Amino acid sequence: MFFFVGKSRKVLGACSIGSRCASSTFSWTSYTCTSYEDSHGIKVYKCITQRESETKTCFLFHSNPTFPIGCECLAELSYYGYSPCVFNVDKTECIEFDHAERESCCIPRSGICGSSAGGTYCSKPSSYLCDSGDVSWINSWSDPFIWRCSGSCGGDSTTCTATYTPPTVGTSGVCGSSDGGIFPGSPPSSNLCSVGTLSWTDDEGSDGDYNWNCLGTAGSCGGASGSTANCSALSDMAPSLDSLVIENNDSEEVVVESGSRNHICQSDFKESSNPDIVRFVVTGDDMQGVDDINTIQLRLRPDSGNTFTSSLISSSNGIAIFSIDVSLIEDNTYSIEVLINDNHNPPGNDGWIDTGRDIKVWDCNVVVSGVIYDGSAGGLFCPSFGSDRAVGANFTSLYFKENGVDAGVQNDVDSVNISYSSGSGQYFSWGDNKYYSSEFNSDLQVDENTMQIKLNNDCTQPMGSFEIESVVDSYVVNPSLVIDFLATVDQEAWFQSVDGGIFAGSTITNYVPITCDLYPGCSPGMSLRALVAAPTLNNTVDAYYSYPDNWYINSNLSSYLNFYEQYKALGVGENIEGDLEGDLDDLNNEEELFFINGDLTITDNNSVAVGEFLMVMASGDIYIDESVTNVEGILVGRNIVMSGTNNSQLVINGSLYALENISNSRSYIDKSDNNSSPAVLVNFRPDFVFHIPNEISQKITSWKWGN
Amino acid sequence: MGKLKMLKKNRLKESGQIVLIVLLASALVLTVGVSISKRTVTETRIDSDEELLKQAFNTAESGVEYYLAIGETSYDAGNGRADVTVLTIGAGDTLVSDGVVLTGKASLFWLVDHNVDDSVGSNRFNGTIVINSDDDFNGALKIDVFSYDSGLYSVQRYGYNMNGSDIVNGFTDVSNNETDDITVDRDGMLLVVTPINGNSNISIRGDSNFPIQGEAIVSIGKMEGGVNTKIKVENRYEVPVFMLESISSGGSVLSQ
Repeated sequence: MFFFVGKSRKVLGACSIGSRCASSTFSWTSYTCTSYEDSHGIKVYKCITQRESETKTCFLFHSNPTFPIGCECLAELSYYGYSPCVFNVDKTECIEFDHAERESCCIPRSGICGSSAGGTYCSKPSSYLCDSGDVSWINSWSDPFIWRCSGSCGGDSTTCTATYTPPTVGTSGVCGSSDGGIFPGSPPSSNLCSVGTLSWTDDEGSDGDYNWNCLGTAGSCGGASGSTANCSALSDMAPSLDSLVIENNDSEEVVVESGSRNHICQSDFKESSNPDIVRFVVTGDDMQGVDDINTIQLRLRPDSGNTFTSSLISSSNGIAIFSIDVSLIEDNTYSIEVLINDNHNPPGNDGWIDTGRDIKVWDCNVVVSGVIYDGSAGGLFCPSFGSDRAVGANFTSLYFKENGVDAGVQNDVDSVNISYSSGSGQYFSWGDNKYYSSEFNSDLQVDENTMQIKLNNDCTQPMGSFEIESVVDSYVVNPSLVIDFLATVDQEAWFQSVDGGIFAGSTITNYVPITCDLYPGCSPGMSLRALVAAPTLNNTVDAYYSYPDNWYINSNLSSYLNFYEQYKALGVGENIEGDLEGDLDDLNNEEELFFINGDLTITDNNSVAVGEFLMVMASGDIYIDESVTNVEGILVGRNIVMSGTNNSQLVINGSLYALENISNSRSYIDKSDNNSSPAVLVNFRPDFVFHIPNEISQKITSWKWGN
Repeated sequence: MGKLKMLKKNRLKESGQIVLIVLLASALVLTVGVSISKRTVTETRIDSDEELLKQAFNTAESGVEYYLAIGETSYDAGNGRADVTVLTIGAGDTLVSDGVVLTGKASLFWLVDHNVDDSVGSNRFNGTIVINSDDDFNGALKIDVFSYDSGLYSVQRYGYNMNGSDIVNGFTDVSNNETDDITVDRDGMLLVVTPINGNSNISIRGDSNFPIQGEAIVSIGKMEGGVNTKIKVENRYEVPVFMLESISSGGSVLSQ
């Protein structure tokens, strides 16, 4: 386009279409008025000249005085060119300009926003953007939308805006508090939708539940609509567990044990007609009545291992009985669970219900082991058996008798460690309710009468008749039994004096066995009712020196006098030269006092009646043969020796005096007899004191001299 | 305690020789002079008394022996004589030991009388007895009471730790020097008290009289010239100590 700055203008009026129009300038032409619409949609009139062979547009006329800025009108020009013309200011007419002058012929007009400006749109508006001017976008993707409408003929562009609204999603429906509820008999009428619009799908609940939807709201700017919530409530409840009863094969209830459990080795099972069968009687409950209970299923589930699941059993009046052969189930402890199905689904069932009961399946075998501990030192009582083993007890075999008969549990014995354990295939059977006793090898060298027994640290079971069910926990993994014994190894020989003290100038060694206290008739003390005195005293720990008051002193109260020499010098009694061996009864009965210048060996028993007296004094040693069991009298020698073994006790009724030592190693042949009795017993005879021959009854002579 | 020794016969000849020597000595004194004679006479008299004393002692001893052998209380020695008086020991309700009793030694107190032949009699003690030690005795007393009842002899033994001494394990502790009452109700025969871990005089007190414990023999030997000597002998009944216990050894008593 040409823009001319008009200096003088000639006004031409509009032409009518088809009319001839003439140019004031060029008369040689005739013009035809035509019209067309320009790009702006403005009808434009123009006179078109046709000059011979040329068609030339000579000028334009606008029909409508209103037209966009920048419209250009062309005036008729010579055929050499155009003479543009512009519209007047208010564009009502086309003004011819001198073609020599270039003058603008557009009227500057600003752009004009279309009706879209100021609106709100989800996306950029596409129409009615500019009432005038061309559209150019500045921001078409975010809020606010901004575009320009261009001006014309140098007019300003105009900025237009519109608000951008992004798409929004509609609100989803939310079920009300009735959702999930239970409305037996009638559907819920309130609290159905907390958000959204209620739309019922099933308000009858014949299938066990009511169903409805809560519809979501529509979205905006193309956003999605809110989701629909599906809601339901139960018109029925799943059954529950009422009770579980465990029975044996004879339909006898097996009472639950402490800890809500049972095990297959209980006597209730063992003594039934089939000890492997366990009957589980399951009773369900339903709000709609037991008839609403369909099937029941049982399973036995261990913490680890295989789960046993029964088949479904149709219930009758809500009861189903499961008879299970547990021999087909691996040994384990199982939780008992049930599945109770409603006639309707939903509600169906509440899943596997833990009955709170357990059952243990196992083989009832209880292995046993133990030790024989040494209680010879004394002071040990069940359950404290100490740690010393009864070495020397000659322990070679042990079996446990059942109910007094020989059949029982054989054991493998470790004679070195004084221990034992169940032999192969040998064990106690839990639940048999049998009583057992211990059978050791016959030559076991312990005092079996005082033996103590401990079963799994329990001290209440009697030695000769114990049962295992109360001491073996059947519910632990691999129940076992430890039976320990505390025994006193057969004691060494010892001696005892009665009513007379024991005095020594150096040492008294005499081990009173601890077993003595356990035997009626055995009084545990070196001496009964008299004093024991010596600088050194050796006894069993905690044993009495003197019974019952334990009189003793570590002091020498003995006389070191050669009474043989002293009394022989009196010139009384009968003298015997040389060693003498034999029976004291063979001595001269007329005499009461004998002096033997040598050793004396007593080989047979003798007796001295009350009122009589016998004292034998030897310059040498006095021996009492092991075959002798009774000696009466007073024996005085350099040493007195009692040794050997005999089934019977050696009783000496009288007194013993040795210038040097008394050796008393005599023992019972059966060493176990030492446990309850001294091998040598010395009974003091007070009557001897009053029947001393006058010749040796010393008379004190106290001299005092004075005028 | 010693044995009773057998006395030698009188020494009349010796006494006569002594007189002669004295006379001769007197004569010598007179010959020498007055001043000398006085001293000589004195010395001679001293020598003469010593010899007489010896003779008097011997005579007294002989008197005791004569009494023990014959039972006579008068003994004629020729130049002198012995007069014997016999006193009983004990017989009251209190008896004392013959002096301090050494530790471990038995002191006997008879609860039964004795016959003339020294055999045990038949009058036995029944009652209660209390035993005392010295006030400062810090040992123990072992007490043995022998009895005879219905043909059976028995012994009952007691023990006391005196003055809170705690000497013997198991003995009864007393805070002073006196034991508890010991009841003898089965015809007591003999009470034996043995101090342990200390020496002490021992006395016993009963609620009735004790029998005679023995006799004291007092013999006065009297010589011509007026020299006298008195001796006293106590004669008590005793038993060998090892007979009072069951087992006694000067060394050891061993079971193994």
